[in-house]
Amino acid sequence: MRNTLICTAIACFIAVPAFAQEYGTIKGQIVWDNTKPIPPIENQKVIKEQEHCLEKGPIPKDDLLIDTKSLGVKNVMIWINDTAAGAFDKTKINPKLAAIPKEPVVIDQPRCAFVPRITMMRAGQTLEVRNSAPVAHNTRISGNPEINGTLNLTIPPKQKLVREGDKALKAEKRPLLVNCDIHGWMGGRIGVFDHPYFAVSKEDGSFEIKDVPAGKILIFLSHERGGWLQEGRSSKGLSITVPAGGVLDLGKIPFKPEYLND
Amino acid sequence: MAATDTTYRNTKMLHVVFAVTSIFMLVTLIGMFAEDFYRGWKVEQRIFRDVEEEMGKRQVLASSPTDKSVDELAAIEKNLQSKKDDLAAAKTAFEKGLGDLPSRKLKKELEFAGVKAEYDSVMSFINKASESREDGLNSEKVRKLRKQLDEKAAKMAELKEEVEKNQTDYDSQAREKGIPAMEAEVKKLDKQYKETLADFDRFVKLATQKRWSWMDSFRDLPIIEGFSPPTKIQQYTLNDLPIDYSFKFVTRYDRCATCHLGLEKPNFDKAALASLTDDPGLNKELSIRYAGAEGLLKKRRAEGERGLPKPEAIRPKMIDKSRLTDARVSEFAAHPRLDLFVDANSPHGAEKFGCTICHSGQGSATAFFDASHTPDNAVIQEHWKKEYGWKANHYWDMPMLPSRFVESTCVKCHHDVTDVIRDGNRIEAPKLVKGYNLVRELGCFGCHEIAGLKFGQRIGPDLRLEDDPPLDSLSNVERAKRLSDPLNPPGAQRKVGPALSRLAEKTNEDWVKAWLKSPRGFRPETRMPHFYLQANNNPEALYGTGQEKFPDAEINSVAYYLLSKSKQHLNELEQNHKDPKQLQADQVVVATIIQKIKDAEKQLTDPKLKDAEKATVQGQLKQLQTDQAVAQAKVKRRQEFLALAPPVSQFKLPAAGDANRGRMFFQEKGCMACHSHAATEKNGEPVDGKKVPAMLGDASFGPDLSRIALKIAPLGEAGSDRKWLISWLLNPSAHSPRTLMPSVQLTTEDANDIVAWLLSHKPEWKDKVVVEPAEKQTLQDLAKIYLEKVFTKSETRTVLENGITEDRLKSLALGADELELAAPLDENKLKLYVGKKAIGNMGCYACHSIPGFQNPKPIGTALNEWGKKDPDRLAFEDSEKYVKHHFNVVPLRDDPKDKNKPAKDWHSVASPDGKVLKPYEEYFADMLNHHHRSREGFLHLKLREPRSYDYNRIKSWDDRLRMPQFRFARPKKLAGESDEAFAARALQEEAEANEAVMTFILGLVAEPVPQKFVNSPTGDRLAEVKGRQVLDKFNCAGCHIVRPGSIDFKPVEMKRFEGHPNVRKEELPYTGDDYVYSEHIAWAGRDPTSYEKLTVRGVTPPVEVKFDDDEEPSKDVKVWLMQDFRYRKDLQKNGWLRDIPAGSTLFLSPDWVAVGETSDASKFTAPQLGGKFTDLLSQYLQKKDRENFGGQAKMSNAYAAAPPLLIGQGEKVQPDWLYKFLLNPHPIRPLTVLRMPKFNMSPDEAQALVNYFAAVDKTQNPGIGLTYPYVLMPQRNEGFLRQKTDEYVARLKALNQFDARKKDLQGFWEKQLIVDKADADRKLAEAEDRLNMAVAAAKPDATKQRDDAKKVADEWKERLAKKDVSAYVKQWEEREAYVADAGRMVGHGNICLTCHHAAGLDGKENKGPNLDNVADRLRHDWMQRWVTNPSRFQHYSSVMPINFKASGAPENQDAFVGSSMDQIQAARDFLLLYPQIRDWPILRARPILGLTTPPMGAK
Repeated sequence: MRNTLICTAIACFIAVPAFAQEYGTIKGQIVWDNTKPIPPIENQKVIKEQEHCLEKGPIPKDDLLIDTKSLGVKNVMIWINDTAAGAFDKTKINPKLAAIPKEPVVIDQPRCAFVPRITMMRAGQTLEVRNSAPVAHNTRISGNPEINGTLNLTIPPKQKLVREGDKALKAEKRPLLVNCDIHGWMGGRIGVFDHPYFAVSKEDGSFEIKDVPAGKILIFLSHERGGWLQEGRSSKGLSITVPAGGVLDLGKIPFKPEYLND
Repeated sequence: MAATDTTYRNTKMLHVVFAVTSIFMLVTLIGMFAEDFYRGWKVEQRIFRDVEEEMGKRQVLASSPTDKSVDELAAIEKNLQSKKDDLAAAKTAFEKGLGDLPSRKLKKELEFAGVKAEYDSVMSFINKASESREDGLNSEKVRKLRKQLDEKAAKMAELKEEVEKNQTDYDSQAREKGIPAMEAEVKKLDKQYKETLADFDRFVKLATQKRWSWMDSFRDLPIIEGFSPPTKIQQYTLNDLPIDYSFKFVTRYDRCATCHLGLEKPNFDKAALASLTDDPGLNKELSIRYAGAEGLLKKRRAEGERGLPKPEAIRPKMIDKSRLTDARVSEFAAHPRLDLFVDANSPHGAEKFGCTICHSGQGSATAFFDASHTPDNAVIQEHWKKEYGWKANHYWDMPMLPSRFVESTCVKCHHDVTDVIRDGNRIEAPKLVKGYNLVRELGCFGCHEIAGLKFGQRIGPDLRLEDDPPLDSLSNVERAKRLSDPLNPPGAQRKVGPALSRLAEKTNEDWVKAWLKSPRGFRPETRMPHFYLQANNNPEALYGTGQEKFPDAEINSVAYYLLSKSKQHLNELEQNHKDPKQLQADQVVVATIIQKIKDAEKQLTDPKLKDAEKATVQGQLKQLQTDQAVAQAKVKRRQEFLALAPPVSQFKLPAAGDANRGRMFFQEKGCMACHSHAATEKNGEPVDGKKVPAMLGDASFGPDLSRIALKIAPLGEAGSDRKWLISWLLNPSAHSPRTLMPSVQLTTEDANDIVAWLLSHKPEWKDKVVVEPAEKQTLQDLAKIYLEKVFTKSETRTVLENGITEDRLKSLALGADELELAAPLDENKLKLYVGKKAIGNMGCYACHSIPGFQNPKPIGTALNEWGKKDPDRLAFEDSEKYVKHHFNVVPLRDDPKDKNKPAKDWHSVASPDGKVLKPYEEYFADMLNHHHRSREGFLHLKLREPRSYDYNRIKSWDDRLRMPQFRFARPKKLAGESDEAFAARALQEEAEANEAVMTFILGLVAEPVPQKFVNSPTGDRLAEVKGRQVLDKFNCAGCHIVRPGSIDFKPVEMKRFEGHPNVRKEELPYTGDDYVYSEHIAWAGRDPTSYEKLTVRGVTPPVEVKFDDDEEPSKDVKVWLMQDFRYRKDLQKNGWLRDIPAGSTLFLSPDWVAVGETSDASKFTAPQLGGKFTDLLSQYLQKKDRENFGGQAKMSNAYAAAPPLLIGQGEKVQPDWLYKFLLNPHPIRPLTVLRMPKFNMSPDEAQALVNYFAAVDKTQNPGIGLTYPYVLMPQRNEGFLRQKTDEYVARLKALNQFDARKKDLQGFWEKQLIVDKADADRKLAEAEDRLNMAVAAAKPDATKQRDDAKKVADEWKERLAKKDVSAYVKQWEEREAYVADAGRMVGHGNICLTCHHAAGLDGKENKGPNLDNVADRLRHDWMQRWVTNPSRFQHYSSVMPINFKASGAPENQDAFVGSSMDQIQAARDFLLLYPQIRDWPILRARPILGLTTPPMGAK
């Protein structure tokens, strides 16, 4: 009898918030530490197929893009999770975002660079890696060996690599790496999550994630060269509280030059 | 005489006596029965019965359904029942709908059966009738009966037809209603249900049998058990493996299993046995299981099933700990390695081998003492003494081996020792192999004969020193002669130390002296043993003997001898190399003398010659002959010297190198695969703007080079140290011909930089020992010892004052040491003499090649049979006291909880007089005690303190023990380890290594084991065993990963694997990106043989340097598969099969992996062979250049830059290529930062390695049909090209591509017409010229040639005029089409050319190997598999992608038409044919695909 009572109590406890789940918005902006000059953007050392790769001018090293006006840092990956490890509680997802989008996520390689460099997508969503160039690329996507493993295929010109259905990428704790061994300088990331709460910072470093379940949640900000950017800079993320129906503004999150040190 | 009642004795008295004696006899009898009833082994067997019964119950419970599975089972059963009901219902309904068919059917069937019975009866009458009559079958009666038979047969046939028709009708209608399908399903479910319970039922049956019945109890009653006892002696009788009683061979009876009753029962492991003494009520799991079993049994019994016990019968009970003691747990436990021993299916089944052949001891004994049990350490010994009154058994020569030495007996049959390494790198006797390798590396065989041969027969391991000069340097004829001696084949071991003939150009006298006195004082981990400062020649031991100054004087003399002889040698070398033309002059001298001899001989034949003149000429001739010998010897010596490398003094010294760059090369060029250097532990100065990170190497194959600058310090001009070191690096064998140091293929500049760095570190030599200069008097005293053995006392006195006179010298033997003492005598001559004597005495030549010592005899005791030496024949002397006075005797060495850590007491202490007393195990100390003297005790101290047996003995200088003191372990201090902890661990490791050497030596018993028991590997296995020895000799595993390791584990559930991204499921269609080769181990693993234990084979995954990660490393055991891992879903024996192919990373939960004992911290059951340097170098590169090598994806580049993986090398390369490559390596892979060195290896050794790799892959991968030493390449076959072209042309036609291709080529062919016409014209012109110039006689031929040429030219002219390309088309169709298109694909700018040079064209980036050279290198089937998916063959995620996908539409059809597999094969065929077809114009007929600008090679 007592057990039943406790059980019911627990059940109610779990059930209640699920019914009355409310949502809020997280936003913020990643900015370069303005006391130090912005590191100049160098060009990639293109050692082969210059004729095609450099058709439209040199390829910038786009793994660190800082807007000179706003000092915003582009291409920072932002996502949330409810625990530092483990899968996201699906019941918390806002019902209007629950469905996995039908349209494929596309990455192209028009001139020896991944466009976009940073991709964020839902697990199970179709991924298309296109090669619109006249030269071959090999696309290597490296993930957790136990989840997505490593995929390394050549994509001949005008062809594409499609991962859909059973073969679609699965969610991982961290973004996967994408690179090309033929053109060693090409690189990027693909974040695959089992929820829709992720964003990539825009030119001015700003980002916004809407319809986030209100309450305590962990946030992760990661940059290819700068590593973890959120307070504490740890793989365990930063605990934040999202207000129901409101906006949590994380304000200006600094990207310090020392983060770039190897 | 009348009879009286009187008797001779008093009857009453007699009655009393009789009664008393009867009672006495009865008591005795009862006593005897009691004694017998309580015999030790019977008691053990009674206890065992209880244990066995209880174990049976536990086995039942382990297989019994739990609560949860009871439900599952019920569900299955319910399902089955409902299906059965459905079937019955369906059947009834179906038969109802058939009308009268069933009744008709039944009626006819019965009718048929009736007639058949009648038929059979008539037939039997016929048989009987024909048997009883003469005329048999022709008799009247039979004829009558036959008529009846025919009638019956006709009737039967008729009925049969009807029955069959009915059946067919019935069946077809049943099929319509789906009855057979239902039946099949019920059958399947029924089978499944029974299978689920199969184990349970089996174990229940077994447990019931094992129960101690009332009959057993009755039979076991005292007295009654004398007749048919349930307890019995168990024995193995071994006629083929008798015991050697010195005079007679006696059958071996092993009765060990009388008490060790659980020996063969796999479930009797120690933990399971020990758990029987726990209260089962407290075991939750057990209670749940019992509840499940109870429910099941009750239910089934209630249902009326027979033969099931009552549930109470399997209720677990506790066995009292006083009965099942810890000792009995060990006694009853199963053999820990049933897969290897005891079990009938194992290679060493007990029926065949018994126990004592491996364990020793007295097998026929049934009592603890008689069996000669031996404790494993002092604590156990003490315990045994108390419990069982244990004492050493002197009555048995070979007492049982304690477990620490048990591996030594493997040597009896495993003469090669490395043949105990099985299945990859699983070392089954690790201690023995360690000991063997130590003996091999330390060169024990230099002084102690370890000959594995007796009269040409193998008797043990063969570690004999090679011939001097070695076989490699002999001429072919000499070598063949030497090898043809079957009784004394040449040894194979090189001397382990460097040659000393060129010592003087390497170092100086001061260094040599300090080194000789204390090698470890200079380099703590050196292999060179200590000869001085030993128990019998340290100052304490020599105090008051008058020999106090001898050691230093001897050291001075030895150093002087070595350096002066070396200088002599170098001087001569220099003279010869300075003026090499002198050789010709000397040869002219010889020729002149020979001519003179001929002249003289001619003169002698002149009959006119007078006698006097004749005598003169004869005298001249004699002189000439002597001159000739001298001159010829001179020429020979000159030739020998000229064959040697010139002295370092002639080396042209480059300007000083760049030390920072040198440091980088030291780390990158592979030096650290064998050497270490303290300075690499800190980051270096950047070079060219790139960091040079630290590298924490711990390689110890070669010496630690931290102090090399102190050693390489020859006297002479400045820079001579650099000269020596550079020339050494460039060609080590010039300085030490038998060195194992390879030529690392450095440029002089690189070597110069490395030398600059090495010599820039001149650390302080803190503990340098002082060697006093020798006084003349001491030298004389020393010389006197030896001289008095040759000369009289008075002579000796004269010699010591003046030296030996010329006359006396002549009387000495050739090469006598005393020749050094020619008058006039000086101090240096004395040093030479004393030095030479000392070298001979100490046996320095056993390890070093030293001038003046050629092929001397080994100085130590032969070890061939040492393992069975009678302890009474060993001179223990006063060793017991020595140990007591010089050591800290400690009961235990290893921490009982963790054997890798030293015990608490295991450390040095200070004695009252301030000496350091190192720890010594009480176990071994006790074995020096005169009650318990044993081989092990003697040997242990001999290896530890070899000279201690001179303790308390008065001895002359040259009579003292000479064995030097080795150090066997070379531990390195770990990061964060305290000095004290390190000291204790170092001593523990040393003691362990000492034991390893003992294990090997104790195994040298030369016991005549019958040939059929001796492990004589043949074929592939032999190649593997022999190859492994070469592999170890040259430290191949220093750089390469050679064999995968393996992990045995017991999975709890398979969920973790089921979600693996690479898993291939049997029941699902395969949709992966690569093709599956079901014959190859990378794609299709071995079927799991058990679901208790699974095995994965692989290597540690690539190590990624993390730059900014705070994530805790997971505790999972990670393995990068090198072979496919196959398992079954659901762990069941007949579940679906799963494959996770090679090249995948697997994560195993750490608690699964605790199966068996793990030998490695990484939890590999058997460690991989090699790979340390690969990881070291790749981590270094990741840190050095994060942009190109850092991160999960880019670290592949770092691994690609490291030495390549050698797993699968045999299936990859052609054997003859590998052979040539090993002997003469050349660069292949552009991505590597280092080069394969050129080893100082003989052709035989190279061949052994080639065979090793091939044999290993053949046995590991039997499905691929690998052959060696020859490979047949189908591409080389006559007709191959034509056949492939036919197929390809047919495909082109079928796909309507043929005409398009032809049209494509039309332009090329038309141009080709012009080329060929011009060529024909040119040939015609040449023919005309020849005709014009021809002489008359040649005119006709020339005319004919001209006419022929004209004809050809005319033909071409006509073709050109008509644009007739039909000849080209024919040729293309017959033999060019296939390779032409294949070549277009290989030479495609977007395929191979992206990274390789191929088809004669430079790649867009030449980062892969040049593909034009692979035809001689790679095997054809490997190439195909490799291109399919390179990651299956790498130990990291390959840089080369999958270019031809198995799934989806094939690409690149513009180049080559066909499926991806067709394309892979075509590319492969093209590459293999390339050398033959490289000049074919068709290959350059069309523009290269996929290139925007032509590459460099295209013209």
